[in-house]
Amino acid sequence: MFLGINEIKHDKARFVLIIAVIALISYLTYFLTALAYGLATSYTQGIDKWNASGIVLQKDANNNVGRSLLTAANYDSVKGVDKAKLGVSSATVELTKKKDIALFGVERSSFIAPNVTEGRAVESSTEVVASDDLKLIGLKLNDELKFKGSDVGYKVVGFTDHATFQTAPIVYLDLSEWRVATAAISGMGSMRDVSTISAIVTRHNAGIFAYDDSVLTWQSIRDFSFTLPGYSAQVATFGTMIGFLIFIASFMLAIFIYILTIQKKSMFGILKAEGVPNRYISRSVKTQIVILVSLGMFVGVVLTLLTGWGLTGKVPFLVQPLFFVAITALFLFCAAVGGIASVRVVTKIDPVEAIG
Amino acid sequence: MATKLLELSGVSRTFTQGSETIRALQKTDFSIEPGEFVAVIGPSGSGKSTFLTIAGGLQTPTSGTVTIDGMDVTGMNTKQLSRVRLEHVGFILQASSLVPFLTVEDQLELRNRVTGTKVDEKARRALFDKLGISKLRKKYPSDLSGGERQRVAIAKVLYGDPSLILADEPTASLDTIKAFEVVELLARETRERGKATIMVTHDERLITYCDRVYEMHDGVLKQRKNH
Repeated sequence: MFLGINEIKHDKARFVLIIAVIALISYLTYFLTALAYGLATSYTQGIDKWNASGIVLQKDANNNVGRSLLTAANYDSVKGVDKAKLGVSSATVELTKKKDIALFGVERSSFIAPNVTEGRAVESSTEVVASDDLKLIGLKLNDELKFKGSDVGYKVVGFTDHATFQTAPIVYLDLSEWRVATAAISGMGSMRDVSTISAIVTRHNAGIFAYDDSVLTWQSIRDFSFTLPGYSAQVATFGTMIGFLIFIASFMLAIFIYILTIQKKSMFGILKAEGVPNRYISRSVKTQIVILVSLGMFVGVVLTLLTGWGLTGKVPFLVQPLFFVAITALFLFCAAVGGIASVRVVTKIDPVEAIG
Repeated sequence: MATKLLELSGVSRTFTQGSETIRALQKTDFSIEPGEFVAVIGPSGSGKSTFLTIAGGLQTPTSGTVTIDGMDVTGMNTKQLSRVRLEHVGFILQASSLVPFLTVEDQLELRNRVTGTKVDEKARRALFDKLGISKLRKKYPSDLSGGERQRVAIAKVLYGDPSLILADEPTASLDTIKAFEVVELLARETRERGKATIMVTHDERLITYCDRVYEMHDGVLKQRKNH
């Protein structure tokens, strides 16, 4: 304690640099983790917020919800489960800039209807609730929203949070109106029908779950996420990248801590000759490591949060506390390994060598 | 007869280097009493350092017994030896044995930290006054001259109140005037406090302060007659 802290006090400039290196390593790791997690989340948070167990799609749609078409009879064949009708399509809106959006058609009272965080829920077919991400490109409450290809204007009566699907912000409208809008956007307004939906979202209860499996297929929300175009490739790539980053950064940290202590080998040798016990030396080394790594990682977290705050709306960025805790734990562990390795060297120093 | 603070009887030390056996220290008998200041001189490689490290409980002899302050340390393990050194032996080394990042007063406080005791402010102040280093209390070793550093090293050793003081070339980095000052100081404190001090040196001029002088040649320790 005494030795470790006094050394930091004496060599302030040196230790500021050491803390800066640890802070930068942890900043890099935390920041990239939050970015990758943010991106992955922006693929799926619109469907994760359903709290659903799974989704039923048309078998021939090959897991592509945009291509899936279900009929009223298909809907009726799903039994023994809480179910909600869902229409999914895409559209383009023009606000301060052009933006692709996901269009979700839902029934007002269904469990997948969006939770409104600002304004109110949809009460007529000319109203929509939009993802609050669209506020960043100028959408305001009570604005009129038009989709490219359609002349109909919808009144924005509410906003909802965490609503993106395949990175696109979601606009929710009445299921019946969704059919009208989707047909109009695709230029096939005359072909619209009155019962088609894209998918059935299920939430399991105690009943026996059954559906017409000759034309339908059910999968869990998690499995469905991984079939979204690009999602599994993206998660695998970023996962590997960040895994390696964490692995290498941890090693660097361990080596760094090791060298830091080894540099003081001769001084520890003299202390040992003077009869200072190994236990005391080890403890002061460990105290110093804990101080340096904690401070460095704290600065790293603060930098990450500040950057995330500065980038709000520009890139998907999301702090997942569990990942942060895991990274912190791993770094502390590796620093401890580096520390223990150097302490072992210190305790093995022959004091005779230090004197001679 | 006064108690002996250090007693070596039949002590020898051999090393094997490759296929050769080196007798670093031939069979040696040696003892020192409170208030005695003894010099060991000899060329480098003569076995002076081996003698000093055995005397200080830093390494165990190949044969013979070593008694420090009445305790037979020959069979002790490293932990026990470490404790003996901490409580009964003080080292003054040629290079500064001070911790580079501790202030002069913290150099002394380190002992309290290690032993879990409180700083004896009275003793520390008295030592600083006596050794003329009161003004240096807040300074770091890098701000001190070679002579000042050795004074601080002596203060540090005396603060620990050891029975036996071992000085390995304590004047190696000092000019003549400073070297005389430091050795004079060491001799005076040894006598006043009833310590036993062994100083290893190759500087003949310094032996005027010593009660006995030994010469070391090829691992053989011999007392000089006229001293």
